[in-house]
Amino acid sequence: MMRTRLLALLIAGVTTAAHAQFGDILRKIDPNKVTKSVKVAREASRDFTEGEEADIGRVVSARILATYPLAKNEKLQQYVTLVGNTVAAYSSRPTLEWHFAVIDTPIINAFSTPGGFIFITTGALQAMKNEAELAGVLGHEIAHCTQRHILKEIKRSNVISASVDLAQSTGAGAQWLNDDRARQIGQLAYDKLFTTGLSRGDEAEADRIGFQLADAAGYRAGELLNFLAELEKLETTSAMKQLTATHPAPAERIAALRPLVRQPEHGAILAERWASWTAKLSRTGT
Amino acid sequence: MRDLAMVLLAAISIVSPGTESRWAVTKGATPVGTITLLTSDNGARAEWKATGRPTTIVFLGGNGGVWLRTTGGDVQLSTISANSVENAVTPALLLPFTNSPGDAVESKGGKVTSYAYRGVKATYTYDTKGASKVEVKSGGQTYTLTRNVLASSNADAANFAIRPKKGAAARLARLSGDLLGPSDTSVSATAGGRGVGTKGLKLNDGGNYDAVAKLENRDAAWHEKLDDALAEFQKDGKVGKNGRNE
Repeated sequence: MMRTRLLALLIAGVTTAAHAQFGDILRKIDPNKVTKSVKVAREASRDFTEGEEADIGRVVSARILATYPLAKNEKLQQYVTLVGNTVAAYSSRPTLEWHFAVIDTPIINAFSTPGGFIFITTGALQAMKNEAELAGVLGHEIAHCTQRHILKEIKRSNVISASVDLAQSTGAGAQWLNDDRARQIGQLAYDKLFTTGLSRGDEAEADRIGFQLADAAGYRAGELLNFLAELEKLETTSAMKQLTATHPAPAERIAALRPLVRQPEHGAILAERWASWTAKLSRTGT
Repeated sequence: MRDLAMVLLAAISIVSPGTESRWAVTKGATPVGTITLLTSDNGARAEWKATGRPTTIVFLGGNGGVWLRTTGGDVQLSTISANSVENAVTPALLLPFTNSPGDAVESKGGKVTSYAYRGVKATYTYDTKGASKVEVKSGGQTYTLTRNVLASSNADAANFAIRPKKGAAARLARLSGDLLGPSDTSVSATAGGRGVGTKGLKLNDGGNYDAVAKLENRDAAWHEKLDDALAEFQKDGKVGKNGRNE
C-alpha cells in the first residue's frame, strides 16, 4: 500500500511540476498510461491470492521433493497427517488445504512452503520421543506458513518484481508462473530453507506460535523444549548440519521458549501412541 | 469412461453447477418444508427442513447415487424403504445423481422433463435460469417444489463429501491404526479447501511435480475419511476437540 501511495504521489508530483514548468509537455502525457501505472503499482503491493500462494507452494514443494523422496511408510504418513491436522485446526488459517508429509532423509529438519505444504524428515522423527514433540515441531512449521514467512522473502527479493505479470494475469490460473520464474522462486526458497535460513525474528515467531498451537491442541507444549535439548546434544553431527546453518542454536531457542511454559504438567504427551505408530520407523523411512 | 458418463449426466442437471438455491415445498396451499440445494461440478447437496421442525436432513448426490446422511455415515437412499415426504421429494432436485441406475429420466431439448423413481414421478418447469418449479406425485399426493432463490456459490468441496457408513470390518481396521486406510494415488485431486490454485501444476524448472501431484492426490483420497479419522484419533489421545488446554 505504501508503495502504491508513493508511486501515486510521485506521479502526481511529477505531473504538478511538469504543469508548472513544462506546460506543453504535460499535454503529451497520456492519462490512460498514468492510470495504468498506478494500477500496476497497486497490484504490485497487494498480497498474493490464496491460489497464487498455493501455486508457489507447489513450486517450492516440487523443489524439496526433487531433493528428498517421500517416505514409503504409509502408516507414518497418516500419523503425521493426523497430528498435523489436529494442530493446524488451532492456527489462524484452519481451513487452508494442509498437506503433511514425511520425507526420507536422515538429516534432522522440517520445512514448510506457502500454501500449506509441511514436510518433516525421517531423521527428525527418529530424534523424537513422543507425539507432543511432533506436535510442537509441526506447530512451528504451520506458523511459518500462517505468517507467510517464505512469501515475505519472495516479495522482498523482487523475484516477482513489479508483479506486472500478476497484474496482467488476474484470474488466469498459474499463467504468470512460467518456468524461469518458477526456477527463481524455487532457488530462493531452496536457499532460505536449506542454506541461509529465514530471519531470526521469523524463527522466533514460529517457535512461539508453534508452542502456542501445540498447547491449544491439548499437547504438553513444553515437550518441544525437550526435543530442542535433544538437538543440542546432536548439534555437532552431520545430520544437524543443515538445521544448524538455518536456525538459531537450540540453547537459544530453549531460553526464548522457557517463559511460555506455565503449566509444565499440563497436556498430553502420548509416548505410547507415538511408539506404536512409529514402530517401523527406520533410517530409510520404509 | 466415467468422465464421459459425468459429462452426459451433467447435461441433465436441472440447475447449474456452482449454485445455491432455496425451494419451498407445498402440498396444495400448505407449506410442508423447504429444501436448500447446493451444487458443484462433482456433487449436489440438498438440506430438507420440515415446516415447524428444527432438524435438518441432508441428502447428497454423488458416488453414483443419492445418499442420506445418518448417524455413523451416509447410506444410499435406494436401500431405505421409508416413504417419508423428504425421501419422496428431495431426489427430484439432485439430478444428475439418480436414486438408482434404472430410474427413468426423460428429456427434451436438453432439459429434463420428467424423472421417475421410488414410485414417484417428478415433472419440471423451467425459466431462463433453470428449473423453477417441480411437481412431484407420490402415493396419491402431489407436492410442488418452487424455487425462491438462486445464487452462485463456491461452497467448499467438504459439503459434498460422501462418507459411506462403515461396516464392522472397516471399524476394526481403523482401530488397528490404519485410520485413513490405504491411499489411492490414482484418485484425482479435488478441491478440499481454500486456496487450491492450479491442481496438477507442472513446470520445467527441475522440480518434482509428479511427487507433488502424488501427495495432493493422496490427501484427496484421504479427504473424505479425514474428519472421522481425526475425531477418533483425537478422542483416543484426548487432544484436539477432546482435550483442548483451556
